[in-house]
Amino acid sequence: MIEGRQVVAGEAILSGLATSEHIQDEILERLVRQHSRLVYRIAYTVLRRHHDAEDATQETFLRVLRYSTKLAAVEDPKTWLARVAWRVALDRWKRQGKAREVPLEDPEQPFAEIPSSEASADDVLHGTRVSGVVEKLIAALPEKLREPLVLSTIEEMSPREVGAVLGINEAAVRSRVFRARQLLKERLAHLVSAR
Amino acid sequence: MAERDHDEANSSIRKSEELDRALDAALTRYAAVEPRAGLEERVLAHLSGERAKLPARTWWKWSVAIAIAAVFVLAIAMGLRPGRPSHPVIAIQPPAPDKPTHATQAANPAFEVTPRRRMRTHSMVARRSEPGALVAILPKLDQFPSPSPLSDQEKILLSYVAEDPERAALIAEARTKALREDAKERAAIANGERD
Repeated sequence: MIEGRQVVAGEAILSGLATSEHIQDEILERLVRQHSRLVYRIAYTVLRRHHDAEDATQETFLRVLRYSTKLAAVEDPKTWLARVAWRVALDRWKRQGKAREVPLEDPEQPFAEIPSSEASADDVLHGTRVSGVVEKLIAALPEKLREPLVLSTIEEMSPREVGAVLGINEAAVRSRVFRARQLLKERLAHLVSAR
Repeated sequence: MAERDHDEANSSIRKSEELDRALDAALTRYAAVEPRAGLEERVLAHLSGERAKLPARTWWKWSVAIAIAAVFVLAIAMGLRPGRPSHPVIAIQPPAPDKPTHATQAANPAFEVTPRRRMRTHSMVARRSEPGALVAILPKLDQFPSPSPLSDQEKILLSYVAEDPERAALIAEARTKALREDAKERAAIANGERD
């Protein structure tokens, strides 16, 4: 009788485990479908290369897979995932050793920077050059200002979410982004006037 | 003069606005990248590949360990049920001088217990269900084997075994059998109570 009860209990546990695994798989797939682009963009803002950003995206979801048993307990999956992606990207960036120079003529030009047919060639060239210069200026910003600025350039990220990723409050994010923009503008103005 | 100042101020404002626009555009481009098509599928495929490589989840091991522990606890609990002697049970025989003859033994195969043979201690219990068998309940000691010298009863037992080992073996066998049957009965009763 006791053995019978144990068998029933064992079957219930197995069934529960299978269900739990199934739920974890579903949650993971939903995360990939909903947020892989966000993860990619976060990685790209740090690494500035498409293949690195894609590798970081894969690594981010791999980490999520390893912690899949805790997925159900995550309150805000988007912010949590953004934080994981940010850390993965920073780790990779540190592993690469030195801060890389971003060439003006990047052979891996992002898809969004491919000129539209409506823009004139001069505009496109000018835009690309400004982007390249701004990218260098951003890289030269102090970390405290650079991090909230680059995260806030991602359209899916609200100041609150940026704050959650960086562990600072929303007001601090807004203040730092404002200061970063001021600095960039001053330096850009200086460069323009120097020409 | 005032007109010139006004023009210069306007020009400065225009430049500032242009810089703002250029900066906005550059910052928008900074993270406005799209991954190569099929990122989600690649991530999911990678995850399913990695999932197969992951070692068996640790909670399976934990479940097995808990099940084994539960079985042990159950066994111990059954062993400590009230009414069952918790101390080592030793079947002893009367001293050698009172050794019955073969004829007596044939007439009364289960060894007859006389008041004298019950010794002088209340630690020896004769059980009604097992006539002829003497059970000594010894005090439970912290250390086993006991460092204390042999008691009188143990000495008597030893001398009896030395004198007639064959008979001692027969009695020991009978006692063991009786104990096993008793244990089975108790288990059956316990199961009956639980059911």
